[in-house]
Amino acid sequence: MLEQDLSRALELAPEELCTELGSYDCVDDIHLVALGGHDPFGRGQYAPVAKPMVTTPLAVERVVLAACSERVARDHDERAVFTALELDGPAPAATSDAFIETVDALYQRLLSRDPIDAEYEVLAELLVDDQGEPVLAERFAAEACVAVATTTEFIFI
Amino acid sequence: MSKTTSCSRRRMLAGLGGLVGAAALGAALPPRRAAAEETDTTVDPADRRLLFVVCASGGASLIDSFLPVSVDEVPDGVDASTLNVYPSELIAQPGASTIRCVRPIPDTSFLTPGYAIETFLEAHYESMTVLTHEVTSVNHNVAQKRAMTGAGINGGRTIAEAVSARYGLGMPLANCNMGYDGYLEPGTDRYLPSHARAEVILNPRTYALSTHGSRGITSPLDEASFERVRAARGRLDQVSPFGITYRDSPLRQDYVRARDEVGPQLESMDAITKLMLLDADGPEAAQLGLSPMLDTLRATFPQLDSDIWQQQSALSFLLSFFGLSCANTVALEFNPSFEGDDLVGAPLAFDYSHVLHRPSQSVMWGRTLQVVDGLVKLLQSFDYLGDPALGKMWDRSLIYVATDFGRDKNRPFGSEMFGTGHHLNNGSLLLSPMLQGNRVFGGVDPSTLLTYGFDRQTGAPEPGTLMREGDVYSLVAQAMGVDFPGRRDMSAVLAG
Repeated sequence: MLEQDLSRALELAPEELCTELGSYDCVDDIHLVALGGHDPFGRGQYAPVAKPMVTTPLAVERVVLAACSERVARDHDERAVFTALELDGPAPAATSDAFIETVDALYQRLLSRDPIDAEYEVLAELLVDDQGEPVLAERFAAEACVAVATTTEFIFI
Repeated sequence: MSKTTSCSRRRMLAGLGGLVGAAALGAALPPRRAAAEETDTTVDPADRRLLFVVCASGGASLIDSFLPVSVDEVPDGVDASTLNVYPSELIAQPGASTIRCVRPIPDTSFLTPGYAIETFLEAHYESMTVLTHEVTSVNHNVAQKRAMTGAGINGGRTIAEAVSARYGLGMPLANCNMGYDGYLEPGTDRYLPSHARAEVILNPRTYALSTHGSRGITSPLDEASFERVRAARGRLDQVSPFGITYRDSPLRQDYVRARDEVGPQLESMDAITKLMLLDADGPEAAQLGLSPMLDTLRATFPQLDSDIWQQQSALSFLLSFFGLSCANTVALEFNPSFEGDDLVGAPLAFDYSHVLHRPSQSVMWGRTLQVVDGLVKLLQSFDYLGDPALGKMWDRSLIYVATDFGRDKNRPFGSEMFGTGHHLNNGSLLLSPMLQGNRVFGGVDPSTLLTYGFDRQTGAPEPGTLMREGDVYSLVAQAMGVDFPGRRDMSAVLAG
């Protein structure tokens, strides 16, 4: 389901979400069990593990990082998710419509709800680097995407 | 492979509320285990022990490996031609070994023989302990699971879970299971500490990738940027309505602990490099290193790059050597295995005995023992954690060759090529310096080929008695320093 939800939210086909080592499908070939699948034919595993494994959070991060990075790369040419951002330019201000629209879009696409004020505030911290200078908009887009898509809310809902 | 899962994210959520309640109830109940050994402190590396469960899937028969009976030993009045006995020239007893074995048989049909049982016995008889038992199921799945749980003698806890509960706190991947079918199933002890739950590994060659959140993934975010994201994600979890509502859910807490504590531990230990067995090309691979032990492993396991069985064994060694785990389970799979055009692993593993009993037993025992041989040699060669002060890994290791059950003891009149069904009666092979080596405990009735038991305190054979799955489990537990209510005293089998 994580694969399907990410695919739908980021408008990427499942096979476009993530590959390991350039050729292995992240979900089917590498992280299947960690992400809640199972392997009845190969290993006689007839049911998924009852609880997330130790490496589940890391597997989630890898898949989400790859998927968000791919989405940002594609939005340079054909915008689908980060429509309010000029990805080649600096990240917008925290008070800008571009920031609000981007965060709203991520929450609606990934969590099917509007963000609350505290969540805007947290994500606004990603607009600037450690010196307080605006980061590139594409970096903000990727960071915000990964942050929201690896929350426990996205994992468990 | 299946992604249709009963462990969906939404089902996990549905369990959250219930788990909160269960946690509250659990707090009011007395703990099941006094469990002095299950404290919340880590075990000093010097005191750790290492378990390797090598699963000979499908029914590895001891009377076709280390408890053979020769034609000459069958009593008068019993028809040897209908018993699965071997010509005396096919039975070997090398040097000072008190254990015997079946030599390579002359005809293995279309199965390709490799490593010989006899070669293993010659090399390892001093470390080998053979004990008889009779199991309680001839259903593969049920029998396999009972081989792991001792038929439930320890509250449903598998022996790997029990060892991990005892020694695994602080190890990020204490209990790694690369098993098959029933060997892969978790135990049923609801009080099992979370650090002892199995990490299921399907693909040992690429498992290393699961131990790092970002390295090797093509992204505009560098590692510093990724850490910023993680920090922001943690704050989002703290302020979100979901995070607040389910803050105390044990399931969510478990996930967050793995994410915020174990994940960084794996990354700081550089597990992604230490465990990497896939020598890949391409820009992504360029970001990744290869296990520093790869050359050694390739020398030990010649088919490491193509044979998942050898990959499992290699990974189990790496996980133990680097202090990532204390219990590893590997298993023959039921799919056939090839080396080029040679069929080196029978379809259904040992269970191909239904069709070709002796060829399957001979070839699959060889295939099993080849990796045990490699594992023992590695454990005997390397200091634990690479620290000479901790001694050789072997000094703290136990290898339990688990199997489902035995095979039928009869054969069609005079036949060398026949099929067998499942049989409850069998035995087990274990190797450890913590056990009495070069010993057989129990025996075989040459008139029936049924094994019989032994006295648990003296080790004396006792015809007419039977050992059970719980005896094998108790022995492994006792040797590994794992106590539990109802553990049988197997002192006779322990090293002095």
